[in-house]
Amino acid sequence: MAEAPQIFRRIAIAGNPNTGKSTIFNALTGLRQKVGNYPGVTVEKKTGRFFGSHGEAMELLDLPGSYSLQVRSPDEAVSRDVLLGRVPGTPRPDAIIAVLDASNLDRHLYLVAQFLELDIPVIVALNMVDVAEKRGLTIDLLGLKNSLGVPVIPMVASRGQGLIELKQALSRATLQVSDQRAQLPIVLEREVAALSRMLKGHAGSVRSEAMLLLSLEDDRLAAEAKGDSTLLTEIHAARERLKLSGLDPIAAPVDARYAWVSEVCASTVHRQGEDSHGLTFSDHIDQILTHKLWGWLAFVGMMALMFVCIFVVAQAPMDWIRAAMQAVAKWTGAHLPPGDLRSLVVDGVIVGVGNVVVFLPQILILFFFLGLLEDSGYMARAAFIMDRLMSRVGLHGKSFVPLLSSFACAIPGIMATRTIENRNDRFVTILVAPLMSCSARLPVYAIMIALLMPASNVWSKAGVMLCMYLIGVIAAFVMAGLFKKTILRSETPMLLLELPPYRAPVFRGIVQRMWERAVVFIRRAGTVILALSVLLWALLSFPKPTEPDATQSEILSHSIGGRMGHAIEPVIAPLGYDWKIGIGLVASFAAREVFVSTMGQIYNIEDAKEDNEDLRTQMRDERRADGTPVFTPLTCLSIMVFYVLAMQCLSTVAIVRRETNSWRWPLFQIAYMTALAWIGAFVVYQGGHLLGFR
Amino acid sequence: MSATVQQILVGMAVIGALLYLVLRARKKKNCDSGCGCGTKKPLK
Amino acid sequence: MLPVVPKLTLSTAKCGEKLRVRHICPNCPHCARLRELGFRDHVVVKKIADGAAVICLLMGTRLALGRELCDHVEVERFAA
Repeated sequence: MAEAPQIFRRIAIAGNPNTGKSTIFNALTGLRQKVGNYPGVTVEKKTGRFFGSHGEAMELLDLPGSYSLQVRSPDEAVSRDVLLGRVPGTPRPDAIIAVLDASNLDRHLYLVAQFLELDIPVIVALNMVDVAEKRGLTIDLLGLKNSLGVPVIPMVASRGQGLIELKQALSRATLQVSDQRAQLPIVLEREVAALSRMLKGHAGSVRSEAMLLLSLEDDRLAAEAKGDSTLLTEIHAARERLKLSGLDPIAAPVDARYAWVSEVCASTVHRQGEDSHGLTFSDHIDQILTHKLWGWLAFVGMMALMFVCIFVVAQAPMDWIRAAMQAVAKWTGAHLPPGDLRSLVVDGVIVGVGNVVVFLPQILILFFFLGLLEDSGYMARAAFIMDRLMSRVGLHGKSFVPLLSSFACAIPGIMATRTIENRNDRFVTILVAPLMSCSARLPVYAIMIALLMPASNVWSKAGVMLCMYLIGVIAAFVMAGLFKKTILRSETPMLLLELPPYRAPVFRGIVQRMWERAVVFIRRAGTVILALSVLLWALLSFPKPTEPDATQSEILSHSIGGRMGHAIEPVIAPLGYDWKIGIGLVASFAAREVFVSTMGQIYNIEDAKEDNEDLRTQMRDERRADGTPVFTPLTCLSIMVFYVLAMQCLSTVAIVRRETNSWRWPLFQIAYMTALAWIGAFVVYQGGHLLGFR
Repeated sequence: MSATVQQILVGMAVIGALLYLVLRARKKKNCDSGCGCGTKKPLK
Repeated sequence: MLPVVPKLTLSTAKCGEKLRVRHICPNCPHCARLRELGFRDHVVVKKIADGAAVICLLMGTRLALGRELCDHVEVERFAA
């Protein structure tokens, strides 16, 4: 491998959320990206390499989108610490690309005002100039450049306009630190200067560090000052002096920066015609989608449509995969001599992997819909209409977005909690996120619904599935309320959320992500699920009973897996499960979808017929010792409820451990969710029995 | 195919699967859930 | 005695009204955030939607604010 060229410049890219920061990052770095973590904290660190206009190697660091360097969430703390050069292993950047939305300069320049105070060269990427023009805004680029004292590059990042100019600006031999900045009130400036002298570090960064310390809230200040009592006393004394002179240390710098921004905008931005207070297209949509009643109807309607599509559209491709799988099994069965090897290949590998792969179409459709919701800007609206409900249990509407992502998978959901400012709220969200039904539960629900109501139409099937998702949501709410009142007490946060304008989703992007997910899913089926299937097969096949004419059922019962199933049968019998379902439950603690492949293997080994029947038929025909069917409607419901509520995912346990930085929370989560699952399934089964259902 | 060869193949498959899972668990990755959550593994 | 005029806040103002921020409390942590998002004295906001929470347009951005938070923002009607 060629040696990596020496890095000429390290550049950070920063800006408010929804400014096209990621588009510029991707356009500059292409596939040369690297995603890792900052040490100690769990915020993702995304870096990429690119070459300047003279071929010099540059490293680009993507900072999380934020409105201000004033810290309120773990994401924002990282942005600030990197820019102050306080993160070990991440050198202070040589320059900052500040990405601004040209149509909204009077707000986005605030962050630039903070960057200019850092004494790092800044390059302004003025993105979406086309949108600004459409809105009748004329920006005097030269004037803006002079007022800010930094290069200003007009861009339309989505079409690649301005990238070359940006690279040229970054490649200049020297980048100047601007001498323009917001003028602070003189009293405040004096206190900042005095405090800077007490701090150690880079000459440029101590000033901004001093300013941040002065404007921190008391509880955060103690953490930031790291127990330096002289520094703390000095900060408190400075604040007292400022108050005496009629200045609020938190409000004064903000007001000074905005006053400066207004001045800059007044001389460089010219507006023609009506100002931005007219209702836009987004506002008209919002009048429906955020309406008290229509908003809810739209939300429920969208979810219902999603689940119906999952059944209707996925049906045909699922049938093809199932048919292909059976054909392969039949062919292999015919070409291998009877014995353990054939059993391994047919009952273990093909049945085990095939039964999971069948659900690929449904999972892709789920991801397609979630991608649509995310890209169009609807997610923020969902958080908005959910806020009322969320605030009942003491959570912020923001907590709903991680919960909604958890419908795809709890892992991105749990990672999305990083934007939640309050630690306790964040932990409550992490604790309940796995209760939202993820895509791995889909196979279990699908097979159970097929057994529960084989002849029903799609609408009732989608209805039952929607109910399962709802049970998860309700459980998440109840548990969140309980945790907020007991172990993770904190005030109900107030809603403050930006609603980005609606944008047409880029289908290419969504299809690309679906493709990536398909690859990941198939790779997982071919590796982990394959390995687990082989092991499960071994567990279900060995040791063999000594008498040679044992029936298949006796062989299964005698195997290690069978014994495990029998061992836990007393615990799960009240839920309506037999020992074979018990094997499936135990196996799916590694990953939920393994339940389906385990069931497939169990009934295939047991049947030992030449032709591979459909798993649904096999399960439907399964009988208890007294001749009654095993999978009664009540048992199916009980199994589904168990899967809704149980924490059966090793990957989630690992991610919760990482995000909470302790084993305490993931272990607690496993305990409470397993208990909840058992109780839920017990109530469904025994309650149903008492009411006369079977 | 003789019964012994079959036994050996089966044994190898089971041990291979076990080894794969154990080694995989030991290897540190960014997101090994395979859930398709989109978190990329570090590129080399 | 002077009659007590109830303060007009972002939560009590009517929907669709163009408003100007009169005052935002200086020492409260919630307001520090609002201030940084651009809610300063004399800035013009428009209330777009009202419900469990309020949506308002501030410098070209739609922001959703909880009702309690809106109570912290004192406004006055503003004739363009």
